[in-house]
Amino acid sequence: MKSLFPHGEIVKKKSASVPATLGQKHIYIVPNWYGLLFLLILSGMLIGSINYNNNLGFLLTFLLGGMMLVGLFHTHKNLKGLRIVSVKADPVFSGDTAVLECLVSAPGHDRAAVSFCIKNEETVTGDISRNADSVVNLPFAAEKRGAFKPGPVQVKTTFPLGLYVSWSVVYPQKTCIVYPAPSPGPALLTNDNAVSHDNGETTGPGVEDFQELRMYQPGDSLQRVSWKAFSRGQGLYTKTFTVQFGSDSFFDWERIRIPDTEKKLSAICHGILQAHRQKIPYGLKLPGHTIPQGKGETHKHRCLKALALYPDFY
Amino acid sequence: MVSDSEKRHIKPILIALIVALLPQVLRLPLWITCWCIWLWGYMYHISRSQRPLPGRFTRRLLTGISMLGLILSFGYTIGGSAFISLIAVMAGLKPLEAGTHRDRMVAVFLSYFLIITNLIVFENLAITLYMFFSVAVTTAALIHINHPEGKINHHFQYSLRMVVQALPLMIILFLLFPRIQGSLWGIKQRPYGYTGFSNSLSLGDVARLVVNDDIAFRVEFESPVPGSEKLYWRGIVFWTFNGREWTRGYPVSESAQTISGKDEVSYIVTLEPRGNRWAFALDMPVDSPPSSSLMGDHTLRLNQSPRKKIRYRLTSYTSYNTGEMNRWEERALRLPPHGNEQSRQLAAEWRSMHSDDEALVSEALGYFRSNNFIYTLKPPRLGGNQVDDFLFSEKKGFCEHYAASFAFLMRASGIPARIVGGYMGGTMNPYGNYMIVHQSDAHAWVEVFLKGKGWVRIDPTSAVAPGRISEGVATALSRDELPAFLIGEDDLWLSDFWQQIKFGWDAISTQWDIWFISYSFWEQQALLAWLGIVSGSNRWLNITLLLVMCAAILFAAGFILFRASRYSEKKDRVQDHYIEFCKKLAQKGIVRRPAQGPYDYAKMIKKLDQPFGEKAADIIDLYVTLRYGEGGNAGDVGKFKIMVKNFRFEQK
Repeated sequence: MKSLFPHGEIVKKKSASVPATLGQKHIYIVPNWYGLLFLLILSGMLIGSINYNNNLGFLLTFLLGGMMLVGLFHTHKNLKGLRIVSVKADPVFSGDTAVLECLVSAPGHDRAAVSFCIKNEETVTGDISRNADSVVNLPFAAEKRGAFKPGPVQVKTTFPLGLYVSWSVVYPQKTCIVYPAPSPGPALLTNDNAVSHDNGETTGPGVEDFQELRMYQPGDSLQRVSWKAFSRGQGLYTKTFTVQFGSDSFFDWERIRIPDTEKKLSAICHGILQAHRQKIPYGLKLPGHTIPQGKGETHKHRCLKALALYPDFY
Repeated sequence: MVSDSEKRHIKPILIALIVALLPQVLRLPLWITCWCIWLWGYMYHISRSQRPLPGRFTRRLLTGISMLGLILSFGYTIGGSAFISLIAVMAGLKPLEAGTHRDRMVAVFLSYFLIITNLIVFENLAITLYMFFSVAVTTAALIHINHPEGKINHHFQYSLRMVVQALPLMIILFLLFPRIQGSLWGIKQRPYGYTGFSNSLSLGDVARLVVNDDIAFRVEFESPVPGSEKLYWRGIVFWTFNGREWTRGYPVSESAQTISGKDEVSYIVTLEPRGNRWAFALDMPVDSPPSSSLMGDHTLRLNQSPRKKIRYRLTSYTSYNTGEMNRWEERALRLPPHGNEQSRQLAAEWRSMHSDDEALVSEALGYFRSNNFIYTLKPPRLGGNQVDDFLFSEKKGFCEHYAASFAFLMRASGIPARIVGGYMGGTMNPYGNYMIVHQSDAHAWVEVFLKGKGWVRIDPTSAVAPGRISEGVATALSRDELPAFLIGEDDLWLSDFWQQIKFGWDAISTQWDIWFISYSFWEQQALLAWLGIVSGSNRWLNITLLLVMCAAILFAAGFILFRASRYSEKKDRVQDHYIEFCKKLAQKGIVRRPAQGPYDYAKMIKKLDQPFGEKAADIIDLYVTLRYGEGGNAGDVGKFKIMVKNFRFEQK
């Protein structure tokens, strides 16, 4: 049920940032529509009891009223003391759904049917046990590349009676790095001497290493034809080579000729991913920031992060 | 497509509705009960199987059939039972729509509503206890709807816990919520309960009452219980005879003369609800309780017929003198001009024999004693000259026959006489120290006016069946005449045992009725007075007092609940100290990862093989005990705190 009551905007300054314990100051509780309907029913019962002077009717009305009041405390208690210990958001590519991983602990007693959501995003509901910290994964859309701070996390519950909604808002301070979405483009690994081509071949000074055989296409240099294979009667094949790059191969911002910044970043991203897949060492040269050559996951992320944050780097 | 999660809710809702509706089952038309059972069975079957929930067309069809059935049964009346049937049918149909959360919540609210309809119809201890049970079950269903992943057992326990927590507030509100006299707007209340005596007495009326096992009223004696021959409960006086029946006749003076007497008895009567306004008092009452008046013939007339049980305290003199006769009482000599000539002649004979009234009365009693009269519940029908037929031909009758004929004879011989209808005797309940007077103790007797003595009770039945007076109606009648419930005291031990159980339950139930059911405006005033708050009928003071009490209860409840969460706060303190400890280590570069458990962390520290490693291990052990184990002893939290604070890296 969509609640029509204002949420969370009320107290921003004092609101908790992670790690946060939900306490009295931050938890709000209000009857929802079902609670109001229940009160209406109780009023009807009360009036009927008064009019017919029916003591049992009074008893039931007051029992239900008392229970509703007790429910208020229970619903509040379901949130009170809940701790959001830490949050983490792994980097994603632009357009993907990022996930805010929240580590939640429930000291003292179990919590039931607690809902977490980032504003305007999907809600995740579950129970939090007091014995083990739970991980709550909150999806959120990451559209733009860059350092994205996911919106406030709203923690909400109506347990146990469903007559009240109790909520609190937590502001995670972590940012999520959104990499530019990779798209193929002419982003070329260059060093000052060698050039890598679209067809995967690279030429330049340096030791040439045999890469692979592929079908002969008219226009290929005759010097590259594998005559050995031809002499065996296997047909015409062209040899392709790669040059072992030395320590000088970079994705160079200046050299790559794509007019649009975003497209350029996307292309470089694609290039990095490819190089990483092919286990080729690479570096990144951006205006004002150079990342020396390297290989591996950490290096990849470092480079992608630089792309994401361009033109800022920190 | 139906999801499993939707079906999960159906069972607890069904159970809640069934439990709520159960007390009504016998009172509802049979077709409604069967219809509900069929509908619920169908829904239960669906919840268990792969079949989808009924679609919109099916639901509308079933609703239409239900409405049709209701209209056929009740027409368009909006009466009590029609309303309850409507709610029952709605309860039957509601589970069909368990699709959305809103539907399910409405179904549970409907269940609560059903519970209150039970309370309108029944009003005793049994239904009160059942009400608590129904509320617990329905609340469990409510909790389950809001937490479908949980177990129903847990939810039921949770529900019980909440009900218990709500009890104090319920009691306070019940006692202090302002009660008013009368109703908010004058809704005409239908007469309720067995009427007992009516305003006229025909031959056979009392006999009809005797076959009824209901309770007429209960009496708690504050003085020693009088002997059985004095237990005459005065109800209504019949002044006028028209040849066929005796009636009360109008008008009767509305204020009674004061009587003089001795052997004062104080007692409290709890009267069952009835359709007329007569209350019962031990012969002869001295005063009248509030909301009633003592009539000129010393009967008690309530201001309104009691729709529910009422209690009143009375004082009576069992030996009394009502004083001089009033002018208006002279109607006690009137007889119809013709009829029953034989009896009139007999009376005239007696008059000639005795000039003294008392002697005449003795003569009359002797006549009944020695002329083979028979006391029976089923006398033969009498003709037009009732008295003649009875006295000279049939000679068989119940107490009203004897009373009526005796009164006739008295009037015929010039002695003012009137018939009194009421009850005679009663059974003491051993468990509760009170007397139960049943409808089967109904009785009619005569009062004659004797100069110097006032109205004196004469019971002609004592002449014919003295056992009736000393031991009650069961011993006076022959066995084959007795209704079943009066036989059997010496039959089976089972019936004796059953009698004990009935007594026991009656005792509990009566206390319940006394303390609870009849609590209303006057009792509340009494309670407030006892609490020291004399408010008169100041309603606003009452309301203010109530609000203050409620606020006090709220604070008390809040305090208790927050203290309960102190348990979790204690764990918080432990957690805080642990974090402090981790920070200390972090400052030295031994950082604990956010999701790293304490044991892993301990291992990591141990690997470093530092002198403080042992102390750190101790701290972590204690932390685990406090946080994850049994919680340790009371002093351990403090000890933990000290250990953390004193932790240094240079220690050995």
